[in-house]
Parts: sequence; C-alpha cells; structure tokens
Amino acid sequence: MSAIRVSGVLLWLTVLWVSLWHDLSLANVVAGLLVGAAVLAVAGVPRVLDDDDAERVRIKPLASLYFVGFVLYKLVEANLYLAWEILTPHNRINVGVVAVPLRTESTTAAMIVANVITLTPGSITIESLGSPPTLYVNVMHLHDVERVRRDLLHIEELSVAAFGSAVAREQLAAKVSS
Amino acid sequence: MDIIAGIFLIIGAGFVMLAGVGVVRFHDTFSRMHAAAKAPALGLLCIGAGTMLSVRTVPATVVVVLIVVLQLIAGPVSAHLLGRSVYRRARPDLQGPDELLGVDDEARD
Amino acid sequence: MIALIAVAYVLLAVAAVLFMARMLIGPNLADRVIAIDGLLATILAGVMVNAASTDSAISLDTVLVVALLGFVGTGVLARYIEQRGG
Repeated sequence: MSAIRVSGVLLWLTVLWVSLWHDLSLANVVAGLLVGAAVLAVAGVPRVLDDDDAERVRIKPLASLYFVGFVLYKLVEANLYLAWEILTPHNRINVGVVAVPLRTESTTAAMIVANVITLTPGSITIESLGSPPTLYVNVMHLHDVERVRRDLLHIEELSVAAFGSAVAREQLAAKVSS
Repeated sequence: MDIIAGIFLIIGAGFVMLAGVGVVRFHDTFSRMHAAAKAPALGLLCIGAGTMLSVRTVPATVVVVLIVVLQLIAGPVSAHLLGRSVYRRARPDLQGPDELLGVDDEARD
Repeated sequence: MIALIAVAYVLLAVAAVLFMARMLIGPNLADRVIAIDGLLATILAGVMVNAASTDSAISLDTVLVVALLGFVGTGVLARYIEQRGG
C-alpha cells in the first residue's frame, strides 16, 4: 500500500467529487478530500488482483497505445459487420462455442482479454473455467474454428505485451516458443 | 465545432438504432445479445464524444469520460453474465460446433 | 445544429420503439432482459443528447447513476435466469 498509490487514488476521488458538483471552489476541493479519505478508510485502497512485486502490471506505453487503437478499431469493425449482417438478406449465421485456452495465469490479463473478446466482431465470452483460465467464446459466424481460436489468442498476446506483468510475459514467451 | 459535435451525435444515435434493429431482426437469443452488447457501447462512445465537444467544460468532460469507460467495461460484463446464464439454463440449439458441451458440470460452481 | 439534434432524437426514438417491440415479443426472459438493457442505453443516449443541445452538464450525473444501476440490475436478472429458468 504505497503512498504514491494512496495519494493517486485520493487525487482521483477529489477530481471526481469536484466534477460531479460542477463547481471548482475551495470548499468543494476540501469536501472532496474529506469524502475521499472517508471512503478509502472504510473501503480500503483498491488493489490490482496480482499484487506481488514480480506480478505487478508493467505498462509498456507503445504497446498499450497499439492495444487501445486495436480495441477501438475492432469495436468499430464489429459494428460495421453487424450493420452489414442486418442489411444483407443472406444469412451466414452459424452460432457455436469455441474454447480458447489462455497461456498466462494472470487474472488481470484474463479479465482484459475476455472483455476485449466481447467487444470484437461476432464473439462473446460466456464462460471461463480452470487455471490457467480457458475462455469459452460464443461466436456468431463460426466457419473455421482454428482461425477463430488463433485470432482470439492473438488478442491475448497483444494484451500481455501491453499490460502484462513480468511473470505473465515469461509464461507467454515459454508457451509460444514451445 | 458544434456541427462536428452534431455529426458525432447522429453517428452515435445511428449505432444505437442499429442495436435496436439487430435485436428485433435476429432469430436467435445469442445473436441478439451480440447486437445489444456491442452497438450501444460504440454508440455511447460517439454520443459521449459529441457531448464533450458541445459542452466544453472540464467537469462535463470528466463525467463523460467516466460514463464511456463504465459502459465499455460494464457492457461486455453484463453481456457475459447473460450469455452464461442463458447457456446454462436454456441451452438453445447451436448450429455450429459446441466445445463447452462435455466439460465437467461440477467444476462450474 | 437544431436539425442535427432533431435527427439524433428521431434515430433514438426508432431505437426505443424497436427495443420495446422485442421486450413485448421476446419469447423468453433473456430476450426481454437484453431489450431492457438496450432501452437503458437508449435512455442514456437521449439524456446525453439533451445535455449537448441545452449545453447544461448537470444532467450527466443522472446518466452515470442510471448506467451503474442498469449494470447491477442486468447482473441480478442474469442470476435469476440461471436459477429459476427463462
């Protein structure tokens, strides 16, 4: 529970309080600090799930930027695909479930990957079992199972490159090269 | 600048309408879930951008960013929860291969 | 600008009607929950368009609260579907 993290969270809570009151005055800032401190005292400082030193998330800026751009692009592509699917009469819907075995043990990575999978065209994560977690993904146009699996594993690679901890990167590198 | 904001608003509203059309037109529960999870997320993103460009104050920007991030994270999560319960309960007929079918039922809870 | 806002409102109105149609028709509970989720998103969009057109940011706090409550509600309904069936 480092001082930097606590003060960072407190600062964010104060910014939030002042924004919700739409009025930047000294009274609001002080009230925000007090309320923020009270909330932190009651609820505790939020921790990322894997919080050891070796498992702490390391954010690489370039990879993160690429990842965010990738997610936004996929989100737009998903909706354009949806529009095309709605407007054209022929129906290529072939709903199925694909198992995607992840290769890292990190819960944060699994969470991010599952979320991004839901935002990409034609897939929704519906189940996650085991450790290392295996995601089961519901796919709308399932014509080539292996290709879908490879595409989704590629998302995992991108997210570990952007946010992964040192342990996660090692695990991914080991599995990929084997 | 207001015209750009207006265009963003229309694009966002168009995506939300796309979600509506998808939800009505698809014949399968899972496909409707696809439409309702992705399109409103992007629609709210665009409308948020338009609102941010139109109301150019800092507090509004912070709140809009918060709303968009919340929708991008909470939207897929609720889609996932729904998909999970629909799969466990109703088990609708899937046309394609189903790789979750044989997995141990006791490992689920 | 007024014309653009009006077009946005019309699109949202069509979306709301479509979601309500699915809510009334949808054969099982899951379809109705999906429709209600979409309807909530439409309401959020409407309030944001209103904030943009009147240049007042106060109503955006409502959007935040409705989004949070909607998410919790959908989660609760999903749990209900899992335990009692659709």
